[in-house]
Amino acid sequence: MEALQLLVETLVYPGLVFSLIAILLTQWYVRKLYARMQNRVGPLHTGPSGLLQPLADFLKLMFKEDVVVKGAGDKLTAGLLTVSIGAILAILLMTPLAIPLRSITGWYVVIKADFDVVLALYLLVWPTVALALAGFLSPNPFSIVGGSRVFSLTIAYELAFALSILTPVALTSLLYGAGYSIYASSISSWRLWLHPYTACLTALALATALISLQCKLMEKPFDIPEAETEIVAGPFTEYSGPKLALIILLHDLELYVGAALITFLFLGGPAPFFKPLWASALTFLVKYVIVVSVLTAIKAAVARFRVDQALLLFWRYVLPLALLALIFSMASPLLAAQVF
Amino acid sequence: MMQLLIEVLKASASMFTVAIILYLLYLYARSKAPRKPIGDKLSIYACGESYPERKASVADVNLFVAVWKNLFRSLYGRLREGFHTGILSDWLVWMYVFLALMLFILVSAGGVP
Repeated sequence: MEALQLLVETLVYPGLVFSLIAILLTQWYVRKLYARMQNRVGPLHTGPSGLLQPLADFLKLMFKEDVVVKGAGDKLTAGLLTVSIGAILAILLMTPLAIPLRSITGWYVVIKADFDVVLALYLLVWPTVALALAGFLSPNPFSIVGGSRVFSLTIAYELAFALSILTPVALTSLLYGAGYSIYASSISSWRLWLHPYTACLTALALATALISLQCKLMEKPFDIPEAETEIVAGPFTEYSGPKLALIILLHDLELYVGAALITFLFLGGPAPFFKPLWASALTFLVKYVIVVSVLTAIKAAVARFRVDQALLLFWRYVLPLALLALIFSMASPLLAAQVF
Repeated sequence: MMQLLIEVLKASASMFTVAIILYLLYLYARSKAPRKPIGDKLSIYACGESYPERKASVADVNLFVAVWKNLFRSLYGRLREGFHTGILSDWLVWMYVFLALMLFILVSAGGVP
């Protein structure tokens, strides 16, 4: 029975089908907002207000011819991309996103164990590795340089992102017994905003997590690996048709899962409206939209860094601040007796 | 620990189920493409020029290390001026110092049981 439940959750809610709908809506919102910030109208004609434009783009790419140049990795690239999409979707099963399913069907499966944050951090690395290897599997200098840029940036932002994610997990585990579990931390993370000490640490980690996620998504100012004025499209130069559709799908899923994870771990998910169901869903949606809007605003407002500027930004400022937030989080039980 | 292992297996099962379904979808979409790519579309091009396959890869040393060497060039220069003599026995001393440091960290962390 549990295997069937896991299958339903993997394929329907909060897994594949629900995520596909969510990322298409997210992509429409991002494109609209990005266009408005640049004094354009964005998607307009396909569906009401261009709502179906991301779906049309995806289907168009999916059924185009798949050009595989001489010497390029073919099925291996597609396999890497699909496994990475599976990895990033598996993270959703670790969050409380499936809770509404319990109120309807009476059951839900969740991936929950002490120290499962390590599993989440491991799964989060898959897309980065897949995109870099997709570049290396193309016989094109632009693709290979793009892939090397992805790996160079990875050393900087993956560490900062992991440290940022660990801060609320460590705080909730040390203060409220969440056991370094993504699910348990998500449930109690809203309480971190109730005290100035933990609120400051959470806010600091939230800022570093947002900057790191922006870099992980390869969005401006960190779109260095696919800088079109320098290296065409970086690791994706040689890709078209269904493989490019999978690459875009993976990128959009990273945005969706990353923003949902930040909403749960830093902003408390549906808190303070846990009941009724519509109020909690609406609260979560508002917080999620705020996170996505902030990421889009950064993308629209700033120009691209050079690779050395981006690396120095992370090593000089983002990484030390994320580390500082984590160190002070680990010290919080010492202060707990006095301040909580 | 056993609970974590079970959750890892659950996550892996979920991950590969999605991967298999998407891979089949990819193969289906590919088979439905209106035409197969032929001719010049399959050869390597760079900046509009044809490019030999053996030149289309970059030496691995330039892929990863080059950025870091450039980034920390001043630090590397300072370290080299301060510590590098070019004498093999000096290098050996540094290796012993490093080994002693590792042993100290190991012992202070509780040692090998």
